[in-house]
Amino acid sequence: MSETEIILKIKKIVEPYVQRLEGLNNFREETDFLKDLQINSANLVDVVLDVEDEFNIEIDNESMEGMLTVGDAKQIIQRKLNTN
Amino acid sequence: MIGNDVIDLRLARAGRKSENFRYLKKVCCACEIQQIQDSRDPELMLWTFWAMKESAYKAHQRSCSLTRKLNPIAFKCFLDTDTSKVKIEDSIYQIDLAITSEYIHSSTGSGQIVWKVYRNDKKPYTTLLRSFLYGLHGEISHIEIKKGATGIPAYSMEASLRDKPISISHHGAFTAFAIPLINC
Repeated sequence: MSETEIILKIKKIVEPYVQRLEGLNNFREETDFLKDLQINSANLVDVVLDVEDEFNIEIDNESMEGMLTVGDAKQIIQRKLNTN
Repeated sequence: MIGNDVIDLRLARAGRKSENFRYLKKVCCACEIQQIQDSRDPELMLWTFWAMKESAYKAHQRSCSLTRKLNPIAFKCFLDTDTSKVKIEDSIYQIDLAITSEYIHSSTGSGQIVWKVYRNDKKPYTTLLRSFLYGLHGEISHIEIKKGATGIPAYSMEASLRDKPISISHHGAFTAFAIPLINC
C-alpha cells in the first residue's frame, strides 16, 4: 500500500471526529490530530480503534502513546503492516 | 501544578463506550474495567475515570515538563467512597470530583485551586475566561492565553508581567478553567 493511500485512508477515518474542519484542507504528515484538527483525546482512542479495523493491525499501547500526527499514524501503520 | 477536565455527560453517554470492550482495554487497566462493569452506572464510572486520568495527565505533564502522549492506561485510578486519586509512575495526584447530572469535573493541583465550569451558550471562549478571571482579579482590560511547545497553557494580564498557569478544558456544551489559588 502506498504512502498516499495510507494517508487518504487516515483522512477518511479521522473526518467524523474533526472539530476544526479547516485543518482537513491542508491534510499532511505534519497535521496534528489535537492541535490542527481539534480531535478530543477520548475520540483519538476511537481513531486508534478505527485504524486497527481498517488496516487489520493491532496497535499496542506503546505505539498508541506516540500517535499524535498523521505522520506518526502512517509510520505505525507501515511498521505493523510490514510485520504482519 | 494544575490540571482539570470536564466531560459533557449527554455527549459522552451517547457513545456507549462502556459497552465497547476494545475501547475500555485501550484506556483502562483490568481493575478499572472491573469497577466499570460492576458499577450501577458503567458509563458514568468510565467517564469519571477518564476525567481523573485527563486532569492528572495535564498536571503531570506540567510538573515534569513532559512531551505529549496518548497514554491513558498508564494513569491508574483509585476511586471509592473516601479516596479519589491517580497514580502515574512514582507520582500520586489527589483528585477533586464534582459530578452533576450534566457534567463531570475533575481537578488536581498542588495546594488549593479555583475552578469553574461554564455552559458555553454560544459565547466565545474568551468571554468565559474573562468572566472566570473577573471573579478573581476584578476588571481586566487585557488577557492573553499562551501555549508552550507542549501545548501547556498560561495566561497573562496587563497588570502582571508574569505568566500564570491555567488549565482549560472544553467538551460539548461546557468549558472549565482551573488555576492555583496562590496565583490569585
